[in-house]
Parts: sequence; structure tokens; C-alpha cells
Amino acid sequence: MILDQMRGRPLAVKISLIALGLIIAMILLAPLLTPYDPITVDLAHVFQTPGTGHLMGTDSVGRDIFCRLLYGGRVSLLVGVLSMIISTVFGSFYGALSGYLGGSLDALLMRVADAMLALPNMLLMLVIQAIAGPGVFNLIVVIGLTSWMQTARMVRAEVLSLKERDFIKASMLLGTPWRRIITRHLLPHSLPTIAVVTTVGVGHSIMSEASLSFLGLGIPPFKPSWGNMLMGGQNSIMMGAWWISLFPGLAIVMTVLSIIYLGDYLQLVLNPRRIVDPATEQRSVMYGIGSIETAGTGK
Amino acid sequence: MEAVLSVKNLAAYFYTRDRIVKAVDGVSLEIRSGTVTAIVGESGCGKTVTAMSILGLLAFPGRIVAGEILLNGRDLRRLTLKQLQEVRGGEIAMIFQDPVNALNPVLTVGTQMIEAVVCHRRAAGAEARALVLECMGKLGLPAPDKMFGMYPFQLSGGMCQRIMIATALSLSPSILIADEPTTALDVTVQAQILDELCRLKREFGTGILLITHDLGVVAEIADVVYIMQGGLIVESGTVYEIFDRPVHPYTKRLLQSFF
Repeated sequence: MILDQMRGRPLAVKISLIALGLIIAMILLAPLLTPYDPITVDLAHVFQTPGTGHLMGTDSVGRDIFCRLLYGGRVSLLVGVLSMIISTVFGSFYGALSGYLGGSLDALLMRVADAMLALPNMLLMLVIQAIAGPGVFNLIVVIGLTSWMQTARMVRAEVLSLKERDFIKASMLLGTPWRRIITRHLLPHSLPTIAVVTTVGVGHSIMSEASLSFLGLGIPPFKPSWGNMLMGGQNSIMMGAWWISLFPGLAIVMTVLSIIYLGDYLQLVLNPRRIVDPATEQRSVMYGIGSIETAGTGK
Repeated sequence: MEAVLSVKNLAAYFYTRDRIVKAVDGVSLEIRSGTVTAIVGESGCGKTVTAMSILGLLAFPGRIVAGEILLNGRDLRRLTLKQLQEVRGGEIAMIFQDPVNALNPVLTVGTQMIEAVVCHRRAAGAEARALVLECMGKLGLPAPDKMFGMYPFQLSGGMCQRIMIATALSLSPSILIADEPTTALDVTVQAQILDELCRLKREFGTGILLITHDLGVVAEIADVVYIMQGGLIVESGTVYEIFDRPVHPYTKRLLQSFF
């Protein structure tokens, strides 16, 4: 069934799906895949090279890298996905509202977004995180609240053009309440845009988590996350222990790339106008969807 | 007969960066129930702006600067947004030039018609569905049951226009604004749509405001005609007065260009 679905999809999408599926499965099955504990220090086995016993070696206090990678993935993906959900939901409604209302309210809402965009994102996150304190939940909220502007701008642009379409005018003229127009007509039509911004955003927020943890402000160092594993390894690279940073780095790159490829592809599949619009249909053929039906019905 | 809708000295200006465009500059007109009132004029003379102003949907940077829009004695300009939403669709409905684009391409026509009915709390659930099907039947749409689940792109332009009219009908408005309802349709379908509009006026007493530049359509169904030029009403009268004894030179030229 899954194989049927995969047939005819572009190669990058296949690889991304497999990689992401594998990563998620391994993260979920972590206790079954590794006998070690991600937190317990084992000073008898520090700086073990990758190979027998420790698949990816151990770090400076003797913790198994593979084990920490799996448990760290739980945190990193959780932060990535949840913070993106916050930012997408907030950003979409913010953008749609701004675009729909127009006029001076639009200007006000967008200037607020611009102001937040103008501040360096990292600085903003550092300040809020320093006030809120470390912790997974705080991290999710902080990343979510500092990354919605891009979504808002994109959705607003989409809404501005949709608003001029006759069917939106028609539903305004039929007295449809604006909340309903936004949720029922405008947001579904912006879905392809939203999907892309979001998936790219998941990649970004995994990296934000990594950067914050790298700077020591995200996840407390003893708890594993891909970001603070990277940080933990930086001093050891000089000593020749390359494996401590390499594997979490690879995990981040693989996950983010897979998500971005999938997001790109999602735009095609989710586009509600795809079947109607011959131009897009053309494009879906170019991307290698076998037939419109297989992609559209999701069987 | 008392006018259902009367517009008095309506002025709507567009404030652009370097000048003020006076799209509508002192228009007065009346629409009575059970009659077709036509606004005729060239492109850009302010016909559509007048219609949009009536419904309070003038797009930025346009603004109504003066005038009264009285619906059964109630000034629409003084209503709150919520009251206005009740009026839109509920008391004044509108249909467009391009019916295919006036329907959301990703929702079935049935869903969209029900949405209108539910928003105006005319009916809900199975009752709403029945009402919608009934209205579709009244407009001579074949196999309403089947069409209910179809998407706009599966229907022809004429059918989409009928869906639009059926949607309006399901809300039983007292006024229907038809903004060039037949321009995008071919001549035979055009005639059918005009018939439906006439029927609407006869059977349900709906007052129709017909916006058009097609004097043929006007001659066919209009009762009262307003000739508009450059944001002003230059001449008005019954369809016979206008066609038989045009007074204003613009009207004369309009008629000459047509015949």
C-alpha cells in the first residue's frame, strides 16, 4: 500500500520519505535499539571511537552518542514540529486577518510584523528565552512566537490577491461573516503556500533549537538534543574526537533536507486548484506524478 | 408604489496619491419591487461603484463621501457591520458578470449555496438542503440532486449563473443587483437568464437593479432606465421614454451607436 503510493514519485521525495520515516521510527523505538542510558555518565569509557560496543562512539563523559542521538531526536523533532504549529496557526490567521481587513489596520498589523522581522531573530529568542528560562516548553513557545512573521507575510500576500477574486467578493456580497470567509474560503486557498512555509519552517525551527541549545540557552546540557550535542562536541573536535559533533550534525541536515523536499512536493499535492488548473496539472506531470487521481485521492 | 431602495445624492470618491477620482458624484435613483431598473452607461462611468456603494463594499481607497442609501427607510450607511451582513444577501443580493469565477472553485456548488442559507439562518441541516434543491429546481437546473455535488468547473457559464441566481433566490431578497449578468454568456443562454430574471420579478416581486451597457438587454426586460455618464445620472425615465424620446445628447448618441 505504501509502496503503491511511492510509485512514480520523484526520487528526492522517495529518499526523503524513507529517511524521515526511518528517523522517526528509530526515535520512537529508542529504548529497543540501544541498551544505554542517554544521561548516565560513564567515566570509564570516555572518547570511545565509533565501532564495536558504541556504534557512534561516546562523548567526553562516556555517554553513548547513538543513544543520545535517538533520545535527542525526540526533543528536537518535538520542538521543531510544535513550535511550527504555533507559528503557522498564529501566522496564518494574522496574515489572513491583515490582508482581509486592509487599510490602516493592515498597515498597523504589518508594521508590527515588520518590526519583529527587523530585529535579529536570534537576539529576540535569546532575550525571551533568558527571561522565560530554559525548558522544552519555553523553547517551543519562544521559537513559535519569533518565527510567525514570514508565514503572516506570505499568507497576507496570498489573501490580498484572493480577495480580488470574484468568488470572495460574491461571498462578501452574500453577507457571509468575515470569520467564515477567512476560515472557509481564504485559508484553504492559501494552503499550498502555508504548507511550504511550514515545512521549510520546521527545518528552521529545528535549527533554531540547535542554535539556542548550542549557545546554552535551550535544552539543559545534560538532557540530549541535537543542538546541545553539537555544542557538547565542539571542544572535542580539536582533540580529534570528530564523531561527537558529526552525527548530530548529520541528523539535523538529513531531517531538515527531507522535510524541505517533502514540503516542496506537498505544495503540488495539496494545491486545491491543481485538478482544475491545466497549468498546474502540467507541472504535476513534470514532477512525475503518474496520474492526477493517484495524487489527488490519496488512496 | 413606494420605492424599496432609494439612493439619494450618492457620491463615492477614490482617493489616489495624486488626485481624487470622482467615480460617482451625486447619483439618485429608486428601485421599486417587481420592476427592473437598469443603469446604462459606458465602461468606467460608475455603474459598478454605485452598486458596490449600496452594499457598503467599496474597496480601498474608495469611500462614500455623501448621500443616503435608504432600504425601506433605513439608511444603510448608518448600519453596523453585523447589520450590514444581514442586509447583504438577505435583503440585497448580487450576481456577477462572470459566474464561473463567482463560485469558489474548490467547494461544490451545493456546499456554497447551503453556506449562504445557513449564514442567514434561513434554514439548517436537511431543511437547508431541501431549500437549496427547491431553488435550483425553480431555476430550471436539470437534476438538482446531481448538480448539488458538482464543482463549478463541471458546469457551464449559464448553469453557474443560474446557481448564483438560485443562491440569491434561496435568501428571498427584496432587491437583486445584477452586474452585467449576461455579458459573459452567449446569446441563447443570455435570453434564458433574462427570462429567469423576469420570472424572479414577476413571481417573487423582487426589485432588480440591472447594470449593463447592452441596450438590447435593457429594451428586453427593463422598466425604468437611468443613463449614467462620468459618475452622473444624465437622464432617466421609463424604458419607452428613453428609447422613444431621448433628450440628453449622450443618450441620443448611445442609442445611435446601438441601432
